[in-house]
Amino acid sequence: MTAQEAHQGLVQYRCKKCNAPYPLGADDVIATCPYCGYTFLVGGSEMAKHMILPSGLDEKSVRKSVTKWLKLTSSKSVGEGIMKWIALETPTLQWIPVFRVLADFETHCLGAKQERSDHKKTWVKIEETNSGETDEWVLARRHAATFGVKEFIESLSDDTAKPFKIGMTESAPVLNSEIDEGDANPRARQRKKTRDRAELQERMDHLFDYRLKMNTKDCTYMHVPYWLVRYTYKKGTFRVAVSGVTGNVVLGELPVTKLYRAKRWVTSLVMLIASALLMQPVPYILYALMQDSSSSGDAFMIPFGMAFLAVLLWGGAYTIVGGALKYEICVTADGEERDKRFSFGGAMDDMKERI
Amino acid sequence: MNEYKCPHCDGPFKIPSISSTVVCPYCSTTVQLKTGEVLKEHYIMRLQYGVDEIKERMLSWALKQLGVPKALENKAEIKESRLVFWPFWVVEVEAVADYSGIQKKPRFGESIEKIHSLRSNWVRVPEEGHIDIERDICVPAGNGVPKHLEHYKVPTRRKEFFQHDLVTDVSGEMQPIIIGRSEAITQARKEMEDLLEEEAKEEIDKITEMDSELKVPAVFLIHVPVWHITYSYSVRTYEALIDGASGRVIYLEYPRKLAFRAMTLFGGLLHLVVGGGIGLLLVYLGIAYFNMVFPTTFGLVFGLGMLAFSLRFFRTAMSLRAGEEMPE
Repeated sequence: MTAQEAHQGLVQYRCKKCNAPYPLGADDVIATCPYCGYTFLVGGSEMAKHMILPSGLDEKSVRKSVTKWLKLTSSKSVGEGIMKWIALETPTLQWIPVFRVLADFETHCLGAKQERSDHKKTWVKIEETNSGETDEWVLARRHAATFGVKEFIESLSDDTAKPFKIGMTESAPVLNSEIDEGDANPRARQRKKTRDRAELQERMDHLFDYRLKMNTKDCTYMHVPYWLVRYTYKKGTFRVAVSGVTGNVVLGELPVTKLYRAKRWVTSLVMLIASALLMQPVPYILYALMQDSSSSGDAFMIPFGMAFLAVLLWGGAYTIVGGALKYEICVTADGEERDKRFSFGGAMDDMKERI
Repeated sequence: MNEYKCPHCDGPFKIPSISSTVVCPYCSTTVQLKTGEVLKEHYIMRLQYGVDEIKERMLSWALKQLGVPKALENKAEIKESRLVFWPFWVVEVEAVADYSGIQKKPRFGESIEKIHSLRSNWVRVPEEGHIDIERDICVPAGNGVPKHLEHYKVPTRRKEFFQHDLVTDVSGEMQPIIIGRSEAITQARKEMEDLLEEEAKEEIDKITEMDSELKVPAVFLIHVPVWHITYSYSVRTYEALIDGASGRVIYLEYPRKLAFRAMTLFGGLLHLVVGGGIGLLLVYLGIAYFNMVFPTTFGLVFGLGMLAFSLRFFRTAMSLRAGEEMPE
C-alpha cells in the first residue's frame, strides 16, 4: 500500500471558526484548532473556559537551565567530567492538556508509629482529620507516555494562568484532550488519594484507614508548556524534561560513567569479600559451642547473627553490582536518584522476590 | 473452515470453525453464531496512518528513547509491514460495592513486653466500607493476540459503524472473533471484581463479605487497525506494534549502543572465569590440603557471589535488546 492510499482514509476535520482543515486524533475529546485556537468539545460546542500557563522560556534559556542542572547533578553522582562530552540538541516545546480541579476536601486517617524507649516498644496512635481546599492537576491524555510528563504535572501551580490564545503557543504543537470534565474529577480524586497515602505511609509504620471526601468546585481546561531536551553523550541519547512554567528541570537522565561504575563495582566486591570473611569462622564457632556443653543457648546467637549478616552483605553486593550495570540513572529536579537507594530492608525484599 | 451464509444478504463465505461471531464480507452484517443474533454495536477505527507515517512516528519515538544510536533515523529499514484489524470487546462496567472485613490494629499506648510476641498486642477490628467505580474494560476477542495488545487501551472515540470496505481498501487483514459477547462480559466482570477486592484490601486486611452489584450498561465490538512492523538496523531486525488509528507506538524494540552490551557480556565472562575460578580454587585447597572448612567456606561464599555477579551481567546484556513498551 502506498502512502497516498493511506491518506485517502485520513479524515480531515474543518474548523468551525476558520474553516482550516486538520486531522483529529483517534481519541480526541476536546480539540484545539492549530490555526485559530478555537477550542471545542468534539461533536459539541466551544469550551467556555480555556486557559494557558504561558511559557516564559525560549530555546536559549532552556539550554541554559539544562546545562546548569547537568553540572549540578553530575557533580553529585557520575562526576562533572561528563560535561565536556555532552552535546545538547534543539529543545522542543509541546503544549500538554490538563484539567485543574479545584475542590474542597475532608480527609481522615488513622495510623500507628512504633516508638522505643528503654526496652519498651509502644504503638503510638496517629489520627488526623484535615479539611481545606486543594488544587489537583490531571493530565488530559489517556496515556502519559512522554518522559517526565508525570513529574511535570506534579510540579504545576496556577499563579500565571491566562486565557488561551493561539499566539501564545509559539507555533509549538498543542495536544488535544482525550478525557472530558466528567473523567477529570475521579482522576483528581485518585491523584489526591495516592499522593496522600504515600505521604502518610512515609510518616508512619502502619496506615490503617484513609478516608477522603472531595467536592469539586471548579474544573478548568488548560494547556501547559513542556520542554524536552535530548542530548548525546559519546553517541548515546539521553533526555531531560523542563517545565516551561518554572524553567526548572523536572526529570532528567544522566549517563553512567566509568567512574560511577567502578565505585559501585568496588563497593560490591568489598561487600562480597566481607560476607565471605564473616561466614568463614561460623563453622568453627558452632563447633566450639557444641563441644562446650556449659555454654548457654544465647551464645548460639553469635554464629547465627554472623551468618545472617553475611547473607545480608551478600545480597547487598548483588544489588549494588546491578547499579554498576546501568546505562543511565534517572535524576529528579533536586539531584536525587529516582530509583530506591540501597537499603538492607530493600535488599531483603529484593531477595525474597527472587526466591 | 466452515461454510456460512449471511442471514442478511445471503452471501456465502467461509469462517474459521472456532469463531464466536462472524462478519459478512459483503454487507458487514455481524452475527453471533451461538444465538444467531445480529450484533448492531460493531464498530471500526478507521486507519489514519499509512506505512510512511508509521515509520516516521516510530523512529521519532525511538529517537526519544535512551541510548538509541542517532543513525537509526537514516539506517532503519522496514522489512515487513502487516496491517491487522484486531477485534476487541469494550465492556463498560459500573460497580457499587459494600464490603466488610477485619483489620488488625495495635492496642495503642500499651507497652510491648520483650517476651510477648507482637501479635498479642494486636486486636482485630471489624470494619466496613463502600466503593463506587466505573471502568471501560477492553477484552481482546481474537486468537493469538500479541502480548502487548492484551492490556492496551484501544482508541474508541472516533469509532464508526463497521464497514468491510474500511478493511479491504487499505489491504488490511481481519482477525476472526473467537471470544463471544457473553464471554467477554464475564471476563470484564471478573476483572472488575478483582479491582473491587484490590480497592477494599487497601483499607482492610481480610474481606469477610463483599456485597457488590455490577452493571454493564454498554458493550460493543470494535476492530482496531494495528501495524505489525519488522525493521532492520545494521545486522539485526526489530519488531514493532503501532496503532494505525491513533498512530500510537504500542510496542517497539530498538537497538541500543552495541559497545555497552559487548562490555557487559565481557564483564560477565570475566567474573565467571576469574571470580568463579578463585572460588573453586579455594574450595579445592580446603578439601585437599586443609580441614575441609578453611578456606572452603570462604571460597564457596565468594565463588557463589561471583557466579551471581556474572549472571547479573549476562542478564543485563540480554535485556538490552528487549523492546520497550509504552508505559501507561
